[in-house]
Amino acid sequence: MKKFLALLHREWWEWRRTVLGTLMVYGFLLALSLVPACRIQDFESSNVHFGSEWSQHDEHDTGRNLMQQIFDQGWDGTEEMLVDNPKIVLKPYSHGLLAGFHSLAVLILFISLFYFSDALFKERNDGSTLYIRSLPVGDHSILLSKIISGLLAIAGLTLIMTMLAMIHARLLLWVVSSDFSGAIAPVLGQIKTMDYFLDLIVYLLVSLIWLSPLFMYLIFISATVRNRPLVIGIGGPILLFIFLQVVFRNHDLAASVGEIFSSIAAMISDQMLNISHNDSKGSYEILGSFWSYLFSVRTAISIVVAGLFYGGALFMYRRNVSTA
Amino acid sequence: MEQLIELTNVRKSYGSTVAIDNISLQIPPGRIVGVIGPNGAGKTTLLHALTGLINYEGKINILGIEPKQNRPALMEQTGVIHDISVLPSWMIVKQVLSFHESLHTGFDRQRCESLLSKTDITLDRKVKQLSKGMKTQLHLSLVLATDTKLLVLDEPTHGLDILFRKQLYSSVLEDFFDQNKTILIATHQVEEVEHILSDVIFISRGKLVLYSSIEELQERYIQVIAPNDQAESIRALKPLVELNLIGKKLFLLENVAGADLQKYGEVRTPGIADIFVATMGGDA
Repeated sequence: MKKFLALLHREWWEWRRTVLGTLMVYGFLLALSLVPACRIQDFESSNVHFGSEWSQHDEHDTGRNLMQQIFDQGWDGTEEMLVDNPKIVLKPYSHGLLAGFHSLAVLILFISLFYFSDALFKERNDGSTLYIRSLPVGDHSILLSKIISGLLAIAGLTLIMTMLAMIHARLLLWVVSSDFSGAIAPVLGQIKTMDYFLDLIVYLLVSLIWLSPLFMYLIFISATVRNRPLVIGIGGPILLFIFLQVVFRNHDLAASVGEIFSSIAAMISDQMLNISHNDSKGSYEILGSFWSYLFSVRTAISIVVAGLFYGGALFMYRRNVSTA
Repeated sequence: MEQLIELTNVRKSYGSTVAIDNISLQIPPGRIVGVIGPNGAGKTTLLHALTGLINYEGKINILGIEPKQNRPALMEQTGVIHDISVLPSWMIVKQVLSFHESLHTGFDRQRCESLLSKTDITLDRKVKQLSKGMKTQLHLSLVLATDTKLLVLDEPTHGLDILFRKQLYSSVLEDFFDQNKTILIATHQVEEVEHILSDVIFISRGKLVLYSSIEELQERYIQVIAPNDQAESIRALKPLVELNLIGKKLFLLENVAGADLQKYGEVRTPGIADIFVATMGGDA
């Protein structure tokens, strides 16, 4: 175990700049977005009338009435109205989180493509694989340390960036209007934050398992090719999809790969917009449960496919000592 | 005598190219063995097989361990330096030491730092900031500070200047070698290692051409420098090599007594390089 932790530590030394840099850039961009928000005037100074075209739904009618009340009479009584109709706050809040979450997922997926395609290739290319493998540590440990480091980094980055995004959302609301922020604070305070993050961890676990065939495929490419692993790893399948489409008019393979991403997006959308209320505690859960997704056929298939790619990667890693 | 390394019919091929062709040999502990062969002879492939880096046919037993089946256990007892600079270039020297310490139970960090203190390498420098010679010094310090029974050096002086070369081999002798340890040195530069070797293995085109101790070699081969008019007489003894010198000829002969040659001219013990060239024929 001590040796495995040393391998994980080594990965941290190698990639910490990327991880911390990503967090710093993300944090900086979030902070930067507060600057234009400061220029937005309070609702009170606008003399806007919300027409009936704003929404046809009852819930949104309540929202429209609320907004109109704020413009007509100020913030008095708003807080009570929001507590009575919390979904006016929770739904847009969930949608905002969901939109942020999807953007985060794309960003982190992008980074993970670089990591997994480079993980073994980099040390094969600079010859350091010869040093690592002259140490008393097995090939499984080396490979697993790379994979687990990547998965931990993805999960860690997602959780920390989600926290930053939630803090940013509250700050943004406060900057735009401190009165509005104060009015919605009691409702947002009822969100079970700890539950939210625990659910998020299960969601990440499911997502990572569903994405593991992609990651293992890239590890396999990383152990196999002599140059440009990312280009070959991504470009190869794209060319194959185009070939299958042009020659055989068949897009099943492309569709099934696309379905991995769409099913992950659908999973979070379904569970994030499904707000539930715990009457006894008076609290709200804005994220549903992901356990049923964990125990699914897709999970089983993903593990089998990832296992096959892992076996291939191990075989190629042992066969291709270096890129030379 | 118990053998430290035993190879039985070891073979490795890449497609139709045979890199190691049915090699069998035994090496006892306490030897310094030179694995000598021309470029592409299969030296590195043999060392990769010995250190469990590649799969192979046949059997290898090192310290009771089959390398391809249990490389980590073998590496607990083995230090390896490869022909190219293989330490991760992005690492800081002290990170390399910590990493090595975490993975190798036999690593003595204080000793390594003491060895490094004799060099210009500082702990806070990145590996990529070091010169090629310094990288080799760092790797050598790591290996010498690790308690192992076998040291495998694959062209360790490749690309280094003459000072570093001399320094490297004297460090290996002073700081590593004793009667319980064995050193394997693969090189095609015979001259720079012949003074420290106890045994030599000649490899050509994946085949074991010769495996002998230096003493046996010196008894078996002999050189004579004779005037041109003695050439015909010496040719009758079937010399392995005949070279023209100024007004003289140099012959290298096998299994001929020195006393029988003294009547022709100056008799002397050949260097490993001479024997290597002779035994390799046109391959070297």
